[in-house]
Amino acid sequence: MSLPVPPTGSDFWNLFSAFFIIGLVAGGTVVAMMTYWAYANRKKVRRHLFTVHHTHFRSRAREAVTIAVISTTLLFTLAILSDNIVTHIQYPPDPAQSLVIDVTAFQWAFKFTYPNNVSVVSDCKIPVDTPVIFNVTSTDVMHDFGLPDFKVKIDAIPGRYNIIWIEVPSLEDQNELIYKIHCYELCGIGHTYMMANLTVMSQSAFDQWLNQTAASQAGG
Amino acid sequence: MYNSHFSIKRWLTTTNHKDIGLLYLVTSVFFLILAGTIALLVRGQLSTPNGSLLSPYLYEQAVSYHGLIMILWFLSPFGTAFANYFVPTQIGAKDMAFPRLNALSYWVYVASGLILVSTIFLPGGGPQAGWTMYAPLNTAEYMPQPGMTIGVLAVGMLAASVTMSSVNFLTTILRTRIKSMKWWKMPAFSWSIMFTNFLMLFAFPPLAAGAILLTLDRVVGTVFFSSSLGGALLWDQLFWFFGHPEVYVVVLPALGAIAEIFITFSRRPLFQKRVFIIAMAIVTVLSVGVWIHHMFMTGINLQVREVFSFTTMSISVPFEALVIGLILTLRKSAIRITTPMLYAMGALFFVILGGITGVFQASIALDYAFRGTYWTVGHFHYVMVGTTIFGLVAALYYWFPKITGRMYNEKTGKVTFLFSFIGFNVLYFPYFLLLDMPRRIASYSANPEWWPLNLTATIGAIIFGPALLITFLNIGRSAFTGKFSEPNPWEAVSTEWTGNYTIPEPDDPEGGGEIAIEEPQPTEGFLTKEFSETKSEENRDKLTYLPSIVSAGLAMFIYGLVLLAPLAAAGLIVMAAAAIKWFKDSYSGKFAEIKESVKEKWPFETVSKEKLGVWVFLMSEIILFGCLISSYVYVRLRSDLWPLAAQTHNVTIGTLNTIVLLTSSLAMILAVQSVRDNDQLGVKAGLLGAFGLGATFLMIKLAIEWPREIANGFVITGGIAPSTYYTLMGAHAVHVGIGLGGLAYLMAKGFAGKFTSQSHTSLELIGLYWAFVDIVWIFLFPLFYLI
Repeated sequence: MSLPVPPTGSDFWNLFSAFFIIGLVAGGTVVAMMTYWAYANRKKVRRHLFTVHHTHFRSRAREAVTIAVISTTLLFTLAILSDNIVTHIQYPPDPAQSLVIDVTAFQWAFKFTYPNNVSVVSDCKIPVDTPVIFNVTSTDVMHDFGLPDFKVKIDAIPGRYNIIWIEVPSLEDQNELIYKIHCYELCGIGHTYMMANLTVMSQSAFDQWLNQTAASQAGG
Repeated sequence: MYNSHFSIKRWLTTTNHKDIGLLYLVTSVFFLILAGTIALLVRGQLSTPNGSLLSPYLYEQAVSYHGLIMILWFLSPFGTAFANYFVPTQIGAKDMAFPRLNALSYWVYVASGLILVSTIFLPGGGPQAGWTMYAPLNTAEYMPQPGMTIGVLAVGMLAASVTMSSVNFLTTILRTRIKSMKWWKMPAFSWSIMFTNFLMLFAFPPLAAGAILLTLDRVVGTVFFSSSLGGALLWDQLFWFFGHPEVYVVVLPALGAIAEIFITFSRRPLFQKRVFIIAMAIVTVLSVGVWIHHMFMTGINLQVREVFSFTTMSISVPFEALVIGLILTLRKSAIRITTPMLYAMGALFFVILGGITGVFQASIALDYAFRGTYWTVGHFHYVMVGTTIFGLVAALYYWFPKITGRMYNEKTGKVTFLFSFIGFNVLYFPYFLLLDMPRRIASYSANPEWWPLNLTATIGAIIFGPALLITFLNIGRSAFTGKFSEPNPWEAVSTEWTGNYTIPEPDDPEGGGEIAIEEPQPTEGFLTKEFSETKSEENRDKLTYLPSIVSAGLAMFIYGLVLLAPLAAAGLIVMAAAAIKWFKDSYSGKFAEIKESVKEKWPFETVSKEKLGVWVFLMSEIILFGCLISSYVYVRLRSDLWPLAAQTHNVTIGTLNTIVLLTSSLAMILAVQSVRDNDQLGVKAGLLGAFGLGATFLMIKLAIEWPREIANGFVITGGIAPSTYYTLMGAHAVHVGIGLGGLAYLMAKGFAGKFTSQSHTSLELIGLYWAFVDIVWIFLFPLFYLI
């Protein structure tokens, strides 16, 4: 079963494709130039060319400038494309409209605390079609809270609160979607196994689960 | 004893730059094989989703050792090996500017590496926090084992070695070039080494500062990195201010070597050499302004990140100029595809691929996905392993006939290149496809879909590792059994091959002029019998055990500091005894210098190489103190509560002490002025005054001020404010102490009447250092006592 790609995931792949195409063309051109000239000149009659002045080929300087101008333009394009998406990833939607979950990383698991003070470890559940803001910190060493399918992550640093937000627009005819959460910063021996699940469910199922958990935690 | 090239004495006592270059070469390859074996274990562990070769405990140690050894003890010393051997020859100097300091750099490097490796045998093992050693995982709370402390100290020791070597290289290149070696004539490799050493001078003091603060945290109980006042980010800042320039430290020598090889084997001058060199200069300058891109995910201000994203992207423009310059050199050329040429082209291919993926990394939006994943691992392995190993193995093959007087085996060379190149790509390319896999995990049983790519990478490692090992074995074999080579088998035109420092560079519009050929340097055949015998007489004077003894003492001191106090004391005694002997030993006359070195109009016209060396060294000291002071400012700005200066420190005593230290400086100036006028009484009075006042300063601080403060409860373990106070004051006090040692030496000499207006270098140099120590205090005093 392949999971649907969340919006931040497709943002990433679009931007990545732009970088990839430009990188492939630029890199391909220079590698081709190097290979071609190395190949074409490999059996030249031995001539001492050391003393032949490069400025005999003045056009080369012009070519070099052209290449530099083109590549700078391409870099600017990529920088601007990239910047548009950063703004989107960086600024969460109106917190009043979204679900804010406090994520506390510790050696070696993630704890998720909901607005009604319900907290669960390693198993985060969120409603579909609602922006979810993760407010991430750590109680011991540096961790990194990463959602690989969403192509977003943020460092969990003791004494700091960092924000990352996601949204899953639809369940695509399934009861729930389960995404993986990994720790992306070496945080000690248990780093390998520091992961969690992110379960996306319908709003009604989510409300029911939250109330049930609240009741059981209050009772316990 | 010197007449055998296997003599242990020769290698322990040598100060010859070529010998030391070879020592660096062999030692760094030893560390490569060690860290490469560890890498094979790591790949073995990851060949199945639930590998059982290494436990997580051993696995985290393996990745830590692998990263630390490869980056710090292999990649940059591998470049230093060639720099040592060929920079003096290329620029027409007889040797390095300070040959014995050069030996000391090497021995401290070896000792630090052995100390690091030895930690694996200690209870609790060695460093397990990765080569980045992020805080607060690196503090004693989470990593209490002594192996980690010793590992951190080994890193600090390496930083000291690198600083000494960059002082040496910069002085050598700036001051001791042969007269005809004008700036633009200098070969590309020497240029690249100059920029590399500028970067080392800037990049290693932050690492040293980080190591000092971390050691204090771990041993003394300060709270720099465990404090929530930005402890984790403080380490990030210090580490990456070192860490990013380090990448260019590793890559630039390889690029310089590639340029030399392209010139020789395409039989063309380097395309637009000046543009090439200016581009390297721009890369050098920009590279100290990009480090925040390692911290995009730490939640720092978006505007800051955008600025650094932009600087990071813009560094690819000068880099592209370098690549294009190299490639255009090949046009209309007559290329010989030899083994070094193949390796150089392979390296350039990796520069291109690594560079382009680097542009991806520079994008903040993409970094949300790349941070901490195998994509990043793939990117920096292409840059650092691909460029540096292939570029410098190319250099090794290229200069092999020059070093050994023999020829390597061309056929084996080409076959191993093919296997290395293919193996490398099979190993590292899958990393780009493992976009979601976290770094440094020992198994991935929850994500079996990552298995095929990991298996492919392991297969690549099984090809690449042995291919590299066979490369070095083959080179080692040819060094003793290869056919004898002609003096200049490649018909190269650069100075280290021809020994002719007057050939005009084709791109030099002024031409070469009519200067006679000086000091031709034939191929030595360094390992052949002839060489060692002819060199023996003139070299005997230069041999010294002192550098190896000093570094052995330093190693003992560091080990003892963490594990066994008497050992530390013994280490200190050994170091002090060797240092005193070193100072007593007059070196003038032992090390021949070229008759006429280049005279730059500005700013070196009247500056002796010793003075320039001290200036360069003080530059690194300024950066070290700059980093320590910035760390203080950083944590102070982040805290809401900070004890009032007037309540914790006695401003009256502080002010008095400031006056004492400044007066001491004036007394020193009196001594320096008097010696120029040959006024012996003034020299004695000045030195006595400087020493007496300096000692008074230290006494007031240690015997009056600190006990008062400690009695008031202001102790070093009492939080971030006292941590910063005692650390910075302590660092300054240590410098005052070293300065007093220097002044004591000057007094012994001055009262014996040995200073004359002609000969007083040591007086000027130590005077310069003493002035620096006072200037540091001028910054520290207001920062701690007044605000």
